Amino acid sequence: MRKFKKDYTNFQQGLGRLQRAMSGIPDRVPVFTQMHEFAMQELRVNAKEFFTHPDLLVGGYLSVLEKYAIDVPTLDYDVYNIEAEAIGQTVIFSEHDMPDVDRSDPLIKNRNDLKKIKKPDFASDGRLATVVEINNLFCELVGETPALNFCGLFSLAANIRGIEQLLMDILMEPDFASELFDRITEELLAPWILYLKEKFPGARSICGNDATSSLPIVNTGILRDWIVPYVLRLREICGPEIYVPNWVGESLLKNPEEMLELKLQACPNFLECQDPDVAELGPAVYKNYAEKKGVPLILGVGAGFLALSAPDEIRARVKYYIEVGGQNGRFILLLCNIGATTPAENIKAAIEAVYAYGTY
Amino acid sequence: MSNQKLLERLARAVLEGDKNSAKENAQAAVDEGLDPLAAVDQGLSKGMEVVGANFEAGESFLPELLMAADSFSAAMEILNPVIEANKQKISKLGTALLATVKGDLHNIGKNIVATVLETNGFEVVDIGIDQSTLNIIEAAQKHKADFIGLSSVMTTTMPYQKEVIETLSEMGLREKFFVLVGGGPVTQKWADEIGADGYGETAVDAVAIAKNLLAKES
Repeated sequence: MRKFKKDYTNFQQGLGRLQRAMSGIPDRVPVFTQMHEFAMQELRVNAKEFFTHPDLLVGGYLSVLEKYAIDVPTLDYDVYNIEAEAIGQTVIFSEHDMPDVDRSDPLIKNRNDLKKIKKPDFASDGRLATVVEINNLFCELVGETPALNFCGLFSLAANIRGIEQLLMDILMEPDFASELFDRITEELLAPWILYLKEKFPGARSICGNDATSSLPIVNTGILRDWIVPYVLRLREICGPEIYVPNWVGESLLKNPEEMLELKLQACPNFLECQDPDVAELGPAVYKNYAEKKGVPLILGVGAGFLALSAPDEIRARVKYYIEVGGQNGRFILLLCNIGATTPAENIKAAIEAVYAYGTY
Repeated sequence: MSNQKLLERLARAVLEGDKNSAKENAQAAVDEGLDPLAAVDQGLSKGMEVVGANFEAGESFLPELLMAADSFSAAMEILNPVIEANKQKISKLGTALLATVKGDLHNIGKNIVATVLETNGFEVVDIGIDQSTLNIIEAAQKHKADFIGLSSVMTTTMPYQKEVIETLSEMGLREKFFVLVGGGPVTQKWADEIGADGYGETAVDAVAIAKNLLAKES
């Protein structure tokens, strides 16, 4: 197995920049990304290798982040699969793409299957031990504890039950849906998160990844009545570090603030929004709302845009988001989910624009 | 109850996702001798049209679509036996073969398209996710599809949409099928570039495009 650098403590500068941006005006707008599929291509490894080998997931990934001058180091693994896999949901590993649960064979087919949702063996079930290992490796290489990650409740429930079936459970058999959500929260997510907290007491943030809880898959009623309450419950059990930032779709609403209010309940310390919503509504809507609520703002440039646009178009969008979102500081730029087909020149164009227009 | 009132109630049952009301009013339609095909076309389908328009306008989302489809199906369980007994047939506007392309495991968008197409009068054959080009073409031939709908949610799998179109041409089958493409990163520009017949940004777009293509053909 190839060897990577043993020291990525230079990323602490970017982490410091992020901290300053969260509370005020840093030297420059910090930028972070998800680029696991791009990184696999850069490292010339297949998906199964990448997602099961800690040195590739951490050392390899950090080397690619460093190469492309991404400020903020992150751990970027298939966070949506880990807890589901640990309780027995089949996960499909393909050659080129991030692993995904086998959606043709959900783990929970009926009420009797609910007993499969139980506290796993953290040492031996699925890749839970690998997650601990990669977090440890990150700490070693960067000299800081990363944000801990978990799969958000609704996404996890959808992964083990099926999205359409889960929605029908909520609408037609709410008792069953409640029991499903209760078990996932109390038997699976809470014990796992508390275990991670014990292993990594320096963790200041615990991020729930929950993209499935987005419009039009759900509606604001389901977010309000089903999903937010369980985020709050998890926060009660596991601590105030819990947040869920990545629901999208507010641009589909006549009143986008209806969803932004819900997002802030799930993620009270900052507002994170991304394309296509930001492209549709404009960054000013988000900046105004974030300033009204007194929170920092993260705006994400979309994956499709990054992959398919010309470098000049990318520079223009980054410039626009920074010029509007970055006024008075408290702004971070996200380059969303950079895929394997994204031209390297596009990433470089985005970073050039951050340096050119994002320096205070 | 007048026929018109019954039709309105059927439409409302679908619009409101009220399965019980859909079943009750479908039974009432049968009991009162209302033409079951009229109950479908002028009752249930009208409700579904409104649901689709609401989905398009951001006033309804997948949960509402599923409830509407569920109510529609519940009513059809009561109407279908009568339709068959009358030796009638619900005329379908066309047959759509749907698939998520090779290497892509996402299906929610495709499933929404399937629901909207079905409840707008199309026969839908959904062969699922991660489908090879040859599987897609063979299935389209087998089911005598009018349309092939290709979903791709990742930039890495979009090229398979192009591959399907190119392979159809190589096999001398391009003229037999309309090819519609869709999915997160897919754009009109991409659809034009690869020679697709249509690009749907939303599920409701897919219905409109499919109807337009069929109208042009006839």
